[in-house]
Amino acid sequence: MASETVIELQQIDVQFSEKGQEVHAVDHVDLTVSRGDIYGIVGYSGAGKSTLVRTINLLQRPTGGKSLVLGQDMLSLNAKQLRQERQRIGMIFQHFNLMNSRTIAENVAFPLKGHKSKAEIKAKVDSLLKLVGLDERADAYPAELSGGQKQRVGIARALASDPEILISDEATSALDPKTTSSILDLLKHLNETLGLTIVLITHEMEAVKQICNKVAVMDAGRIIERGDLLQIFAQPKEQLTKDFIDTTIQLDAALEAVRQEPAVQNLAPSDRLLRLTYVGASTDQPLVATLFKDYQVTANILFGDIQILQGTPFGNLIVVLSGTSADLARAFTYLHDNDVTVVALDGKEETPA
Amino acid sequence: MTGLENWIEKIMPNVVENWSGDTGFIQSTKDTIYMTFWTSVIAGVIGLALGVLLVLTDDHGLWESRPAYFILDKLVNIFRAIPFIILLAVLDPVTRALVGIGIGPTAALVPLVAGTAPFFARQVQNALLTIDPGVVEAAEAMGLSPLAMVWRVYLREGLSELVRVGVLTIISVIGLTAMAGAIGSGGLGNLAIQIGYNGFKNDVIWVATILILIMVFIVQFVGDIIAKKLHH
Repeated sequence: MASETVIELQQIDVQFSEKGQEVHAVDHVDLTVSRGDIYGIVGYSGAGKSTLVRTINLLQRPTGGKSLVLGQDMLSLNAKQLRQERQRIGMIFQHFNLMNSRTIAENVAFPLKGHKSKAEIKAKVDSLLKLVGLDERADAYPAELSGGQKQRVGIARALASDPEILISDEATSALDPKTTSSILDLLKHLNETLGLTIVLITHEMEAVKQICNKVAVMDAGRIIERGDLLQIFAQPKEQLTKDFIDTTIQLDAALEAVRQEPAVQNLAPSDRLLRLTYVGASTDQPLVATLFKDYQVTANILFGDIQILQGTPFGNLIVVLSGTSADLARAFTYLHDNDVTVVALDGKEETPA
Repeated sequence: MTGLENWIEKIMPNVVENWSGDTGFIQSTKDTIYMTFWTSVIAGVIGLALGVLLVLTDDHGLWESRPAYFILDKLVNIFRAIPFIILLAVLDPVTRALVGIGIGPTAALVPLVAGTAPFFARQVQNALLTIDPGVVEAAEAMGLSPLAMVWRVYLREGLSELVRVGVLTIISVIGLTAMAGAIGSGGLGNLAIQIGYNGFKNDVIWVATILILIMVFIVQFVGDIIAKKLHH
């Protein structure tokens, strides 16, 4: 699927000195976002995500590199052209950044003043508030709203100038899980109905998992891994990526509980404690049944987690496999051939294929 | 004469004697209001502009400029550091050049403005710094021009706080007008010192004090109502 590139960052580099210390916030990063993408950039705070996305609309001027957005070389624009270009790039923030002295309707109308007639603005504001489900609260002030409602206002405001790109800067990080989910659903809805391209930065892999089709993992100013969501979940290469994925299945807690079980405490010498990870088609195979029927290997499932990513199942199992070492070796080959990732949790030398 | 008037005449003879006339209570009150009003207006405009410029040229400001901030910052500090009573004397030649005369309420406006504008500028700066930088960034991301940013974001979002520091400044101006009496500005302070204190007429001092307090209370009361109305 070759679609149009809407954002292309080339060798973006950002360095600044803070309190006499040189900070290399973004280190020669390339990033390409296509129209209709929901591109997740995940990383811990301080990884440089916020700085990186701000080089898209030049809220942060890079010290090196190129920022091409919607066909414009952003760094070549003069102040006035840049202001016009910024109206095509909406932005929402972790702390909403609404104007407390203005009502909800006035906040949403804010970017439109001076560009459209009063009647046009009113119609636009009405339709936007309806879109985000806040038409009843038009005359309230931000202080009267909950966090989730404030973010909905933020989204409505960001959409007022009909942008083609929306930058979401930790937009759900200050919200509880349920509200987070509803805001993410709204973003997904906007992506599907308006064709809005979204760049979403977050430290929560859960948010990425819910709506993104692409993901990049950032650490210390660099993108250390990137790709399609499914590909990254199925075959993460970097340890940090694996850690982020594990946060979505609470594997650490599960593993701790599993280790207390008698089945694990009294592991026979030939038994193997393993983690099996699989994506998509693999799950259609009757995995456990095949292991027993064709390889005489019994599987004791101690923990299972299956999530749906972009309509595709993503499964994680913690199992004890029992059988002769010859049978186990053949079983490992079978698993490998079926794109099941096997990780040894028992610390044994011979790592399975 | 009614009984009340007799009684007032009895306990405050000097107040009654100095009620009207060129240096009387009525004229002095008018002079104090005149000086307070015009100082507030002129110093308000200058201080507001200086305060906004301080915020804009400061680090991470819209027009970030180290040299510009340095100069403005030092200028404000120097004028604030000079005691007002000395400022009155120091600025005498400037006053004469501008107003043509060195005494009287209009002449007093020059040192009053010079003393008040930097004070108000610093207050404005502090008031505007309470605005969430995130809100400013959001407006920047929307593509607002710098002028629109000042008008529609800084001054609008900071309005309630600006009213609060405005009240504070007006009250301090009322205080300064009393000191301006030292250069014969007229006004209630002048009356209290020249006639009350120097003439051992305590009732004049008391009534002048009460009138000044009433002015302060009215400014505070009205200011609080406005600030409260603006705060959401």
